Amino acid sequence: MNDTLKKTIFNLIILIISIIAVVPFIWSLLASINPNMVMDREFFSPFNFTFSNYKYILMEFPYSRWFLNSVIVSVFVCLGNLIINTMAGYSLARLNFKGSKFILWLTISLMMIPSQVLLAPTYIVLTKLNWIATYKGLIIPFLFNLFNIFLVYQFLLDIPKDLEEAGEIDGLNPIGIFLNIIIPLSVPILITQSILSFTNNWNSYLWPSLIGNVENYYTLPVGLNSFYGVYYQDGNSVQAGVMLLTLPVIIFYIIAQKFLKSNDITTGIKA
Amino acid sequence: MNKTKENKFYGWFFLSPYLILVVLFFIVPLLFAIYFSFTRYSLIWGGIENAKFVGLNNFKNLLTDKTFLLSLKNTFVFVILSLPIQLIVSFFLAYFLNSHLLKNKGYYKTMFYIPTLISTVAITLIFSYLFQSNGLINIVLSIFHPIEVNWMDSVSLIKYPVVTMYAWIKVGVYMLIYLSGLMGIPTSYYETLKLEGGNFIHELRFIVIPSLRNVTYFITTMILIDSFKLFDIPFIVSKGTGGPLNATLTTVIYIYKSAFSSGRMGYATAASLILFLIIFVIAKLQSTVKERL
Repeated sequence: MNDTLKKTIFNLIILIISIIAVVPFIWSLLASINPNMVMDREFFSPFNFTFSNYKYILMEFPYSRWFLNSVIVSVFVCLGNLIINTMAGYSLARLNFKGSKFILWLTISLMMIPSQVLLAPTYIVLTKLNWIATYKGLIIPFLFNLFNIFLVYQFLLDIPKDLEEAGEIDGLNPIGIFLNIIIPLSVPILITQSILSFTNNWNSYLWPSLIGNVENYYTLPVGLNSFYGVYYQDGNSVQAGVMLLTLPVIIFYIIAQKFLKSNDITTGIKA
Repeated sequence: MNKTKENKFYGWFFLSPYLILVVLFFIVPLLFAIYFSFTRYSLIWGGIENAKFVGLNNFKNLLTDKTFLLSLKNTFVFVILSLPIQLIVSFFLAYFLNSHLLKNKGYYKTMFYIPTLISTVAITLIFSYLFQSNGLINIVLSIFHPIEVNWMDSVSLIKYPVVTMYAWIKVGVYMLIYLSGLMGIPTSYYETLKLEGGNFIHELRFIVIPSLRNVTYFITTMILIDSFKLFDIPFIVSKGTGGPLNATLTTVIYIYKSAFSSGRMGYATAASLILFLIIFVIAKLQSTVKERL
């Protein structure tokens, strides 16, 4: 077997595997724009395509409200995470003070405890605060993320000390250094963090189903699942809901990814 | 203000939002979890001072509770099935992506990564239809064997759709980690092997697998910890019941149901502490095994 043939066959196999990997997604997309299910041995025909499933779920059910809830919650959680985690990571990595080692140790230890262990007690705390079925309850407990704090901490450890010293000579205090030196250098880690935090919260089911347990405070995954519970026989409308839930994260990811590539990591020091 | 004092002031200043949140939504719940696990308490009883101290009763009862033990068994089955599948698939995807024969790597990387971005709710609602008795998967399988398998309602078969969906969501992340490990292997290793006349199996056996030992260890730990916490997929597949006949009842679903359907907060927190202990012991065991190797 010659090399070109080997290469072609290999590429073909990977192409097939990659198509299999996204088939469920494509099937869902086709089902969502098809008047009947694409499963009863009846395949998609391009002449039949329609947006009526989307129209139906958006008009007859509070999908637009759920979508809006998801947008509000995910955007606020993502922004809050960027600010709070980056501040904490900066403090732990760059400001050596008594107690910072302990907080770092605490953060790493808490990372080992799965949040599911805290399901019932966190619910009790939120009930006592009267935060069940409010935006506050859906947003505030998720504004920090131990893993992301550690990620920022690790990233900031590698920044050369010289840059901060230059800032100090110019008379900047740590807030000034943070805003003018650290933030611009952290763009790649900020993008990574926002991808992780946005997709996590957009997709999250367990916590929002407990905290936003009233129809008006359903996020999209919770609303979609409750819709499925009643209307599972209308598979095409369910898949339209699946697409409403899926497409925004994929678009967000592709845009953020582009940003990540165009921003070369620079330390500000010429080699 | 001198340097040490300044650092101390600003250090706590930058940490303060995180510290307030972590105390309120992590440390307080954690202390509650320990406290409630020794009590009997339901939310409808009002204030937490109404919790009744019962000593170790919750733990004793749990260890003889058949449903709880079944939930542990189910969780172990999911872990044992998921670990090799996720490990092997993610390894080979990364290995193929790293091959010099492959063109358009960036494109394939995105294709394999896309499933990890999709919500577990979405994935589950897609696969629930694909696995229906007249769904796409049975249509494809009937090419080889003309039967209709009833995946979703069978006590013995339901775990396969669940494990498939779970692997679908997770594999992309581990693939990326493997890929970064593979890219770190010096090309001189492969060149030496080629000079000695080694083939593909030799390459895996003598270069790739030994070089990736630490990465494999790391990914194994991640898969183990993650799959002990399995909740969303079986919960949605079974419409919140853990059925058919408790076949998909994982420990986290059991905790959820005891806390929020039966209202037994103390019992549920005791169960979550047992789950945490199991995860902790397995992570520890694994690190001792690694040191021996």
